[in-house]
Amino acid sequence: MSSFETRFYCTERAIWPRIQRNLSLVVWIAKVILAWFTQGRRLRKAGRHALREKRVLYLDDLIDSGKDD
Amino acid sequence: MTNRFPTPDYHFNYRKAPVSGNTINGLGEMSQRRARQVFHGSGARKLEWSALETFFGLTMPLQIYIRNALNRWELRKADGPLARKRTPVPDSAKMSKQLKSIARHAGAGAVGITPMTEDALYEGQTADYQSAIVIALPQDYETMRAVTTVKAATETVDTYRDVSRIVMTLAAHIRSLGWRARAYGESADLLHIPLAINAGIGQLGKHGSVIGTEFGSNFRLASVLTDIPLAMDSTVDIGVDDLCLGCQRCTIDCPADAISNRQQWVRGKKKWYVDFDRCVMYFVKTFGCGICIEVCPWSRPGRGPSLSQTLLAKRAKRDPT
Repeated sequence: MSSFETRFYCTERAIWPRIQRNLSLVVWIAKVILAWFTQGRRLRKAGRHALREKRVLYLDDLIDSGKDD
Repeated sequence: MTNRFPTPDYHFNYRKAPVSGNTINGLGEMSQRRARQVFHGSGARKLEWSALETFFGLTMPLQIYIRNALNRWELRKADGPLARKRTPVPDSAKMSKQLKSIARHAGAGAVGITPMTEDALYEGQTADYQSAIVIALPQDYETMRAVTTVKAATETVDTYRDVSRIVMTLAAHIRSLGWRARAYGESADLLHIPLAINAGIGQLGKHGSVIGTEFGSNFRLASVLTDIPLAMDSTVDIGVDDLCLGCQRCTIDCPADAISNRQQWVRGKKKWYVDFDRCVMYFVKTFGCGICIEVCPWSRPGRGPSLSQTLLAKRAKRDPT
């Protein structure tokens, strides 16, 4: 994994690396937005249910958690 | 605690709590070390509290979520190629003045310049730059009075977008002079608070945010790291500790009871510290909270300069040396 800056900041003058960067950033943003409609929808629904039923929603059950290093 | 804000009960939690954010932050540690990321990760590594962060992001209303995502598109311009020819800078003070003027013209509320130091970087990160230009952009106070609501959260996201635009403009100008410059807007790769304090934007308040003379805490920060020769600003003493030692407004109003009335040891420095574990749960519940910023008496428009004068005068009277 690398940070947003490492992945998407481009200091090269040539146009092709910048086009490549723009394309990969568009794909990244599209994935981020898609996540709101897919995983996010499940989480919001589960959250509403938990609120209505006055119980606790355990994040570890729904979201991959923990360190990777 | 006032009943103006939502109560600190949560319909979400961890079954097995991650390591305390206070431990990650170095609460109680007497020796100095760099900070570790704990929330709002840069993506460089998966954080211990990442599940809560994912929950925070994905349960945000779409209008805020989309704004955040689109801000990332703009942030691609935070760095770029340098001009082929480097413009010499014989007078660093004049250059500092010129850059501050550009920043203010672009909308900055306060600008400060400081040498780039390691304490602005998380463990394992590098940023090989000479100095940092720190920008503070005030938020609309009336809108921010609606903290804990979507309306205030939207204002915060928009302020981050606007302050990012200012630092990107500034960085682009510096690069056009042939000097390296990278803007850090809504970035998780840089700690803006230590830089802002060193650059004289303000002092650390007991609520863990910087308090500046004019806007109190009601602003958002962004920075430019650069190599262009600049004259440095120094830290300021505007009387924040005098206020925070006597004022209990944010301590009382924080529903999560996360703000302490005393300074504590954190990574080798005694300073104000907010209990991460208490703060973050309420932060997630209330679209980024912001109560402590809004209730701080210094944040009230027009109040800061006279408040600072009064506090410093009281101190001088108390301790004439």
